[in-house]
Amino acid sequence: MKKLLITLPNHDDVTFYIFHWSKYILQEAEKRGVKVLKLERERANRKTFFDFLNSHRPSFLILNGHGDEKTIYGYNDEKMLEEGDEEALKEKIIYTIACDAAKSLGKSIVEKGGKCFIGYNRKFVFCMDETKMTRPFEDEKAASFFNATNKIPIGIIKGNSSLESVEKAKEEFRREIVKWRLSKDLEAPFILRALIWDLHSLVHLGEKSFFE
Amino acid sequence: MREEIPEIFWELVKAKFERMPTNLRLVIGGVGSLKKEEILKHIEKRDEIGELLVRMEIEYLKLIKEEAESYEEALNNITKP
Repeated sequence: MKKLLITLPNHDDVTFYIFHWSKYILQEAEKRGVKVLKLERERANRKTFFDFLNSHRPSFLILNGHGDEKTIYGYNDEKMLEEGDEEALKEKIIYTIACDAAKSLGKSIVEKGGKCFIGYNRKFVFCMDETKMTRPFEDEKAASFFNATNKIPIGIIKGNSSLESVEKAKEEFRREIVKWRLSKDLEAPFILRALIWDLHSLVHLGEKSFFE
Repeated sequence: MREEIPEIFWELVKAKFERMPTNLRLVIGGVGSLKKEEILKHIEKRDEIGELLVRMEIEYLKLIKEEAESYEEALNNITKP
């Protein structure tokens, strides 16, 4: 049985949005009969993460939360994964929305045996509508970003290669860019710039991989 | 690095964000969700976040420039005898 592990810290407004928009990833996994190991809120911590890696051996990791060049953080921004942990990530497909993680950590993981690492090599940026903050699914500004980036894990779960999934996400970013360029909304110029930034920050490191 | 950004870009980005609707928040991973007044403070302070916003603007302008050049090239090809 295919197994994926997903971390969902959900401790501030940013991780709250990511938590909600991950619903579509979880739905796709359920539809395809994938076993999902969910580390929600307090369970998104270093100890539980490594316990699950060792005991369940998931081959696909979706790591949500904040990040920097060398670290991905879990609940309450405690260190969950950092440079030096590469051994535990051999033969894994890793996707993260965590900022800057593709810059150094991702490279190091792939160099030391990770199948592939998909993420952002700069800060991931998105827009949210303050009037919709308690109802993230109604926030069409945020939807433009999450619909695009979610194409990556959803594509991989569907059986597409990691590279194809990244290409589909990039196509979606481009579609959203066109949509907001044609929009007369006062928010459009800001959403547009953030989408262009994310499109140019998204990288696939390592080999074309399939979720097995 | 920050010294390399010409003053005109800082002014341009400040003017742009002064027009940002107040209901919109810009979320920068690792920083949080920023309101308009917080964004303007970062630009005024010329700090790392301000620099990111200027770089976002430059990337947007580059894209527009590339697009204009591709249209120009296509147009030149059509009009060639």
